[in-house]
Amino acid sequence: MMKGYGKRLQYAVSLLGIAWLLLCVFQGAARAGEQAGFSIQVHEPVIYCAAQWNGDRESLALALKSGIELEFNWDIKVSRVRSYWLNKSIAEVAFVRRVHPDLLARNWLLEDSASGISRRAYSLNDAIDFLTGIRDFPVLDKSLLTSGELYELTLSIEKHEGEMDEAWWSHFWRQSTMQMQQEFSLP
Amino acid sequence: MKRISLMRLLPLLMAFGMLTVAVTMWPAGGMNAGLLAWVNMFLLVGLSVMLIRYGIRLLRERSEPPPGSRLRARLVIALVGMLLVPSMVIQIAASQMVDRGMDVWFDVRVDTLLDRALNLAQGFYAREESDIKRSMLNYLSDPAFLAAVEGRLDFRLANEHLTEIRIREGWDKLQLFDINERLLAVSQADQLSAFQETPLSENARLSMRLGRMSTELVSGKDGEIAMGYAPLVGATAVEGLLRIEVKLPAGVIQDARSVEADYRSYRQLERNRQSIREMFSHVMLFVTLIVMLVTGLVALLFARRLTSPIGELARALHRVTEGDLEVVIPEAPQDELGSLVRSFNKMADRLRQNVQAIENAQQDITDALASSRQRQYVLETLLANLQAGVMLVDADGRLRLLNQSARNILNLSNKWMPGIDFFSSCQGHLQVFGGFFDELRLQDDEHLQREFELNLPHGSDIRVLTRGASLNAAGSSGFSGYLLVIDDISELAEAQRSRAWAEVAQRLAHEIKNPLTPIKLAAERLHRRFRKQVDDTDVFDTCTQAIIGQVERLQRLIADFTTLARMPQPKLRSIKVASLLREMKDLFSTYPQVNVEDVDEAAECFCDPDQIRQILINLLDNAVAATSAHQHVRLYMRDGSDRVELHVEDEGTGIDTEAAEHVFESYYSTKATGSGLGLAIARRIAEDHGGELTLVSAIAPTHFCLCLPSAATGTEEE
Repeated sequence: MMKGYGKRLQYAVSLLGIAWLLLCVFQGAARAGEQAGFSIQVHEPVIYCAAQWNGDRESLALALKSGIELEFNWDIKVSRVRSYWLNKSIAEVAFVRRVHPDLLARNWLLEDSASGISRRAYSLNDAIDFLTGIRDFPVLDKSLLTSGELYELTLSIEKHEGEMDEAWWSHFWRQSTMQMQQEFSLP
Repeated sequence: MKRISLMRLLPLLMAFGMLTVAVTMWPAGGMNAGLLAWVNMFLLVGLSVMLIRYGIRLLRERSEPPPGSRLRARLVIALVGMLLVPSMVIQIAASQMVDRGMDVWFDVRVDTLLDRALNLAQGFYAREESDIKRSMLNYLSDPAFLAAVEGRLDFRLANEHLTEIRIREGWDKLQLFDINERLLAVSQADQLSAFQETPLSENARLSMRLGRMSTELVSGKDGEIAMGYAPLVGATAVEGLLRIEVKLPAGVIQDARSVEADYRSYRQLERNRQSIREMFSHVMLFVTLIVMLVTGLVALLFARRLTSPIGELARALHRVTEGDLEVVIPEAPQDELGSLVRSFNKMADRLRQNVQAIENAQQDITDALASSRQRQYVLETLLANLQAGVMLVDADGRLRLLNQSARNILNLSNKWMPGIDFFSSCQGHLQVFGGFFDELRLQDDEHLQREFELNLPHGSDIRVLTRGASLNAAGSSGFSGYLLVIDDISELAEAQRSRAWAEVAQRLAHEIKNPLTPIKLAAERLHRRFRKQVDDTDVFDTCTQAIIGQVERLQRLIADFTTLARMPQPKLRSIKVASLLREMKDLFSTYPQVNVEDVDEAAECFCDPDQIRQILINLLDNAVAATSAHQHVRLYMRDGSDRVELHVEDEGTGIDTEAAEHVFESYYSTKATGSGLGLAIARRIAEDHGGELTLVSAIAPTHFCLCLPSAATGTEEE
């Protein structure tokens, strides 16, 4: 009987350790998730999304002034909520917004992978706004959704400083700085 | 309270240390901290959990752990500890060095130097732009250009004017655009083959739209070009645009871009300064943990290989202490432990052989003991059941053994126990045995036999046959002494005497009985034939009657002798005692003094009724003869458990003491006409029935008791 009690105690200690580790792992993500906000707008016949990264702009400005490239990877997913199983994915849009500082010319080259357009900005605020916000961003056609059904829109933003590493394993090192979810349904 | 050793607490202390390191180095950036940091945390927490589990198991461990496990744990902990301490020292030193190195690297002087270098590069660009802008100021309202954009100057003249200005200002290329962004004239330093028409940029359009000068840098395959845009302002509005291109010097540009790249790298590194430090720490920690893990595993394998023979030895020793001698340890490698294992196997084998030999010897001893006990039991049983008395006396004259029959025959007291001195104990009526023993010891022969007449203390006399034998030590027993065997031959002597008497009686009866009948017949004939011829008939009658009477008495006497000599075997059967007594009552009904008491009808005895009837008649005859009419004679029965007692009492004259001792002897009678055989025959009959006839009291009342078995015994049934 004492032997069984000892084994249970050891399992309990092990589970506590693992739980503590998981708690510590996810607390960073939870803290990062508080630094953003977004909204969903439905305009016929397209569903738009507006989002704003509310992180430390000073830090971004300092990086850009220092000539460090910044990149925001935006990922927007729409899925149908299924209580009995995993949610069904409806649409996913991913794009990258990148700013290349030119310290000698004192301007910033803005690149948007969604539109393929690049332009120069001569204002730091313009460059940061370009990176951290999207407005009226079309996500998907309304015809793909059904009225009355519950859907979930998940927005995740990955911030990256410096030159991008395009190697496949570099994804393991990238960490999501923000992830938000919001449920909605069409009338 | 049980003292907890430091060794038991060591895993918990190590776990505590690891958890402290984990808390100290916990990634502050959450998920942004990087995979390596979390791998380290996972390793730290995992190792801590393992150590905590092991520590708890050690603390809770009450029984003896498996052999060799503690040595193995100590080896592992010692090896890991030996590696852990220098690793931690190295890590601390390396961290300090990195801190110092980063302080040197990110020194403020380097920072200032890079800022100045970047400022220089930016200043070069700024100067180029300002030079272009300053030069362009002279041509914002140039009439020739205005005329050209208004169409009042032909292309050739405009081109010449452009070339003149380009050469004067030292520009590399000069282009003139109207308000519709149409190229009107161009002048460039290179050949026409290099002429390429490029559309206006957003910046150029903006400049034309806003009516202000602007510059921008454009990177091309030939290097970087500083481009200036100067709007041509007419009387009321912007009417065209001058685009100036100045190729920046390649060497300067390359240096400036290098400065920019270095500045960017430096700032990026500076920005990640903390991350670099943390990454370095985590790399070091990761390496340390991996080394610890690998070292722990190697140490575990090494310790297991080292302690495996020790554990097996300990287990084998434990089994040996529990009595299992069949244990054999598999052969170990050719080292000291292997030698130890081989020695243990030899020792166990020898121990096994010794134990086997001991067990065999023990079995032999057990068998011998069992046999000896069996023999002793048989001997004791034999001695206990022997009718003869047996005594064993050792060479020192000490009594070593005697059986119950010896006690009974010789009426020995309780002081006769093994160990007493035999010779000195033979006192009183046993004195003859002392003499016998002395004679046996002193004689040369091994055997001696004597008959003794003993007068026992309670008054009875017995005759014993004593045989002695000397036991020398030559036999297997090693015992030296004397064996005395004593037989009570009183009954045998009595029987021999009775048999002799019977033989005499038979011969006498044979010799006397034959002439008695002719004598009696002759006397009767004389009486009948000559009675009338004699004068004195009375005397004649008396004489003839006397002859006849004496002959008849002699005939009866001879009949008794014959009876005594030829006592028939009783024909035993169960009979009702009540019927037997009723016969006696009827037979003696003429004697009023005889009182036969009624008995239980169910009472039975196992006897020959004719012979028992003869005994009862004899006893009642004697009683009636000894009593007068007013004295009582009683015949009654007492029923015992397995015997029936028939009592005859009378209130007659009784038997004097001297006669009482001989009443059952043959030819002893107190009556003048008695043969003295009645009670002797009666007792003989009683004994032949397995019973007895005794004189309970000789006088007042004279009481005889006849005991008979109530049921058949084995001997009688046969």
